[in-house]
Amino acid sequence: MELRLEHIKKRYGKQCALDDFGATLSEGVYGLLGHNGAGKTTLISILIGILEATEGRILLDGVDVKQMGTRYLDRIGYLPQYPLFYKNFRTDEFLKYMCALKAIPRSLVSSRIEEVLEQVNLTAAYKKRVGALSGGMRQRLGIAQAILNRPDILVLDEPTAGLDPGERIRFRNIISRLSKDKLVLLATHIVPDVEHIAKEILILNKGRLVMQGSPEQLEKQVEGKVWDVIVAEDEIEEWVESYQVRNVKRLDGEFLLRIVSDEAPSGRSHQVRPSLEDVFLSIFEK
Amino acid sequence: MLRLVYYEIRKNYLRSYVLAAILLFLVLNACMIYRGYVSGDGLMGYFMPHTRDTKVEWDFYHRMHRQLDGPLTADKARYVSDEYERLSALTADGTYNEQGQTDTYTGHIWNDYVMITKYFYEPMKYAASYEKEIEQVVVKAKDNVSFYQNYNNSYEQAKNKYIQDHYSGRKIPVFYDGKPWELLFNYRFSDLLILLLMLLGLVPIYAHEKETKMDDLMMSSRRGKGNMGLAKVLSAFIYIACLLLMFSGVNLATFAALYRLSGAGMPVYAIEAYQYTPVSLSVGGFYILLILLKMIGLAVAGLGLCLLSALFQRVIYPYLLGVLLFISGLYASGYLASVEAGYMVWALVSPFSLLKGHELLIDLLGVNIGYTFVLRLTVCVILQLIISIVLYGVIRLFSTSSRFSRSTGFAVKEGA
Amino acid sequence: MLYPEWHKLLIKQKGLLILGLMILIKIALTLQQGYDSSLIINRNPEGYAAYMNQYEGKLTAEKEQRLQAEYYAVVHAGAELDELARQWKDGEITQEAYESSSKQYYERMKNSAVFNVIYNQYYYAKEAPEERYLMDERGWSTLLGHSKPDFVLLLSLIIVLTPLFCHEYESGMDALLLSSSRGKYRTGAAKLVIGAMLAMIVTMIFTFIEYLCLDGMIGLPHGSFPLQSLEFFANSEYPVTLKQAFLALLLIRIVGAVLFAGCIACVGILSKRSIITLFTCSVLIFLPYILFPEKSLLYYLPLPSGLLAGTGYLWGTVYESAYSDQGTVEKFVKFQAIGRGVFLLLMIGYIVEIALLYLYSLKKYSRYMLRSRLRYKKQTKLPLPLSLLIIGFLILTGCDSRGKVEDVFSFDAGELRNYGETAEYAIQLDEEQSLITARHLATGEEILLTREPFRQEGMISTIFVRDDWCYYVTQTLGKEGIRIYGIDLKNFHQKLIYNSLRENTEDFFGLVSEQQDMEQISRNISPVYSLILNPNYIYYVVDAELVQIQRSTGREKVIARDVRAGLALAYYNGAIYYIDHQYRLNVYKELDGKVHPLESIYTDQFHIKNGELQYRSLLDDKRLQSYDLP
Repeated sequence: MELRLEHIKKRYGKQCALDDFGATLSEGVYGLLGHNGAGKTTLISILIGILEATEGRILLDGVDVKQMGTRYLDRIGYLPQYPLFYKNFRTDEFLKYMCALKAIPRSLVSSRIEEVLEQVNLTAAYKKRVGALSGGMRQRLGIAQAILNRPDILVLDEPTAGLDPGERIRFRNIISRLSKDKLVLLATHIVPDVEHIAKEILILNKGRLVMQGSPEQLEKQVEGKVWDVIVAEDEIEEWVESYQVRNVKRLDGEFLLRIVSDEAPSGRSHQVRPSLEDVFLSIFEK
Repeated sequence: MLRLVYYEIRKNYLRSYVLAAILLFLVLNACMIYRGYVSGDGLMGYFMPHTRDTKVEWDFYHRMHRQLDGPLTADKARYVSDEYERLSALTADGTYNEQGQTDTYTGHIWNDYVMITKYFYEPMKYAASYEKEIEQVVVKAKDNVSFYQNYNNSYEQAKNKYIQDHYSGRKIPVFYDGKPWELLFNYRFSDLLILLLMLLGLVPIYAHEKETKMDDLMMSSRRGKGNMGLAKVLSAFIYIACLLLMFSGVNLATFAALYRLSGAGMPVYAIEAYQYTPVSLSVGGFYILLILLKMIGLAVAGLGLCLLSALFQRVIYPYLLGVLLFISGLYASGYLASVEAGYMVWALVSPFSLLKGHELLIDLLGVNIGYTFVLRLTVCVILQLIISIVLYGVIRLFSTSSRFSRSTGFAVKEGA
Repeated sequence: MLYPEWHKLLIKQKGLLILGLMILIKIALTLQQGYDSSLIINRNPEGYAAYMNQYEGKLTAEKEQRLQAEYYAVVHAGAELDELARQWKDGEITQEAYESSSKQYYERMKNSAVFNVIYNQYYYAKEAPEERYLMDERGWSTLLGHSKPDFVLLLSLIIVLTPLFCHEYESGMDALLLSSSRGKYRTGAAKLVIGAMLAMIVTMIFTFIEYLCLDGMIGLPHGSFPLQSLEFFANSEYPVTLKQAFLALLLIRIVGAVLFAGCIACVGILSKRSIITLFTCSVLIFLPYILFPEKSLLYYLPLPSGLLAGTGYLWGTVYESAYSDQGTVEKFVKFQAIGRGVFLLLMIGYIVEIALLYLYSLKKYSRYMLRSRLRYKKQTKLPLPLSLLIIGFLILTGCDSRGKVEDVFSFDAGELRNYGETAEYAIQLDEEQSLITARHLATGEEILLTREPFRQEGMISTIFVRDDWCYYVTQTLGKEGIRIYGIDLKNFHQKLIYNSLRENTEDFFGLVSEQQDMEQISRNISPVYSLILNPNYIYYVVDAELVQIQRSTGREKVIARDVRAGLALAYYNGAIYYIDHQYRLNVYKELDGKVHPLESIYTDQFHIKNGELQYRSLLDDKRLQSYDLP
């Protein structure tokens, strides 16, 4: 399966929310990173068919999705940001409703619901009201409804916002399992969510695709530019003003700074292995 | 607190759709007044329509008023009376000539007669004879005081004493056109628009916080309770006050522009319909009093909407209940002049009765409370103040309900 | 998708509950509002029904003849009866002959008022007998003759249909819906269809509630008569029957409801917020009724208001009378009729508007148009218990107090209708000045009882004095109803005893205006002739009717229609004695609630003294005779 986005542009008056975005995606997990306002949600909205691009086209296996019509939507699963769903529906009722929306035949509804609930570990909450679910459970319900129609393309918008670390790990595991035969596009600004599971990262900044590649490839871009240095408390401010400081960690009266810099910032500093967050910082803190 | 109030105003009322609705309604209101002016509606057709056909009559009307307005002098009275007599004699045979006539004000003698009689002679006669008429009322009241005193009828005694005290010494020393003021007092369309805008602005005041889960955030803040209680209610009052001022201002300005309101300083009883009003204010002062009364009534109605909003999470239910309450409150206010005690109480409990301050004050309407005569208006205002305090208490209870956790002593949100 | 959306709207969003509540309110309001009628018919519905049964239907030559004959007979009934009485008194005919001959005149006099109503209807029908039939108009006039909006229906539609789209936006489900294959178009279309269907169903239910309630209360007979049989529709140019007019009204309202549902959907989709939708739709639907009350312009607007009122499309031109500046009564056009051709064009326009509105809403909802692959796949006169409850309640509250302690008090209306005495005072009514004075019997001091310093409201018609209280009746020109006040002669405290004047002045900003035109205002209301009170009941006589008011409930009942004006009427010990049109002495007894003629007592004058009824017997040469009262 191949999903190709060609020269996607979205303008609102004079403002450009997406500027000439292009990418070719296939099965696996793709992380879509960027600050708030970078264009992630705009891109997602265009991708799932609720917003029309000003220019450009999307091809799925070589066919323009506009030509495919609603058949294209059959191949999409979507989890929106901060979903409320219907609080007065029970979990099973809500999933049945989503089955109806996704044109799943009646004979398959029960088995399909059972299957997705098992996949997201929500079987126990079958009869619970959506409003009574915890944040993590609601997110899992969100994934459950997204995969009801066994989509080829799964689009998740900030899926781990508000989840505790345990839930986030569980979530990542679910995604990894699902991505075997699906294209999973995970939009987030929490880097660790995609760092370990994404096969490719797309970084958006001010509507443009500024970087694309596997985590390793992106990390290579800042190899040799990431430094650790220990400073006194009264020096911190000076360092923060002079360098791109990614992290400040307290160590018994002193502070360990992680800095992204082309040159070694001082004699006291030593080079460290870069991470994806360092890449993120190097792009957005310039 | 002021800051919180400011943010409440910004959050709930300074929104594009609210401001757009207010602007639209202000324009609509002015158009309605203009329409009434052009068609001559109101006061049982007292005024002629404003059309090309009536231009001559209206010119004459304004000309005469410019000549006669001001202190009521013997010369003016004589002039009008003489004109009336002259025209009466000319039209005594009852014939009506459709041909235009010369040496007339409006082109027809019959028209002149009707105009002089209706717009000048009768109003001036009323003004001139008011002092004597009301003095007779006071004399009767004085007689009644001693009469009822003899028979230990405290209520009637008190009522007639009230008449004696409040109606003595009245006279109308000026002559102005009071009917436009009467039209202004009777005008109610702007009240409807204010009520609709109150629904728009106040129904989501609490419901929206719950929808967006901001209520939890507020309650966990130091000033959260105050925000949810007093700040919102104060902001609602300010909103209502602004609406009332805007619409009252537009009403006054439009009426003044169209009808040329004059004689704001004349006593309100100079308007014939208000000859028995218990208040001795000027016409301008009376209009301000009506606005103040409306403010109280609307504020209580607004508190009702706030309470409904606090009870529900979605705006649909407080909207529905709010509309039903408005309808029943308005219906109840229709009984404010009722002679039956039960209906009257129902009317006085309804805050919408204060939207009809002109009806409460057009005649002497009182209530027997412990054999004392009390104006219905006074009772209504006191009742509304009591209701508003109760409503505020209940709103505060429902919007900020919390209890201390038994083990830790920290306040815990209900249901946690 | 229809079933899940129905379920969501009606069950999950509590639409069914709200509709149930609104239906109950509608039924209660419809029953409470009653039907159009006149005081004359209300006082004598049986007489009206009896006459109507004889003459209703198409006017034929034979019917006209009978009507004219009856008219002549009614007009002359009084004189004929007097002549018969004279003949009998002079001995020209026997008593039996008098009784048998006088009965017809007596009955006619009793029902003369309602016959006049029917005769006026006949006059109306006579002008176009092919189109205008004689009938009891009340029910159909109420159903078809008003253009007032059905508030409960409009509010129901707004409340139930607003969440149809708004809830999706507010809960964030819109994105999920739009990104689903069926959610994008089918769900949008399903929602619009559901909105339209629900609006149609609710409108039909509400219209049928009106129909059934009116049918239950007053009846809707002769649905096959022409529409012009109703005087209100005199100028209507539609050659339809009443039932057809009702069906047309229903169809028009359905179109209006569908248009309104489309407006709600469209505003909901555009605004995405419930409060804006609620507010905007309320303004859109209610303001036109206030801005254009009963004006034909309402029916031309591209808004649902005119359609939902509906009746105006069937009206002819309606005139209103008012005084001109010359002091004459002139007719003005209050409502200009909408011609048939124009009506047809308007309906086509509305249908086109509906189609465009729905398509626009669907387009806006689905936002970005993907080509939709077409798939043809087979892919749903008054509730009896309530009326029984109401009737039962009315019966229970109407139960009279038979068996209670009897009232030993006598009152002779002939002598005492404007005069009364207590131990201390002699009370006199000056009818012209509407003043009541009390003269102290011992000192001769005159006390004015009506001491209102301001103008006296209404005219005082009559007084009744007993047990140190003076009661009086006031009536206001042009207003139906009476007020009865009592003055305690110990401290001269005044108290309201009874009020049947309509007092509610609220017109809901012009929406329920009860403005009367000049003809209605200047219509004379008959003055009350005499008044009697006892602890349980109030009685008064107006025209030839004796009316009883139960003091505990305020219910009025006409207990006799044949009270001869100007002759004696007396109360004694729970019974009222009066002379009827046949000069018979009748008695109404509270104990059994019935009127009985006292056999063999024919008189033109009587009074009660010391427990004895003394009368001038017409059977015995006007000699004074007495009758022992029980």
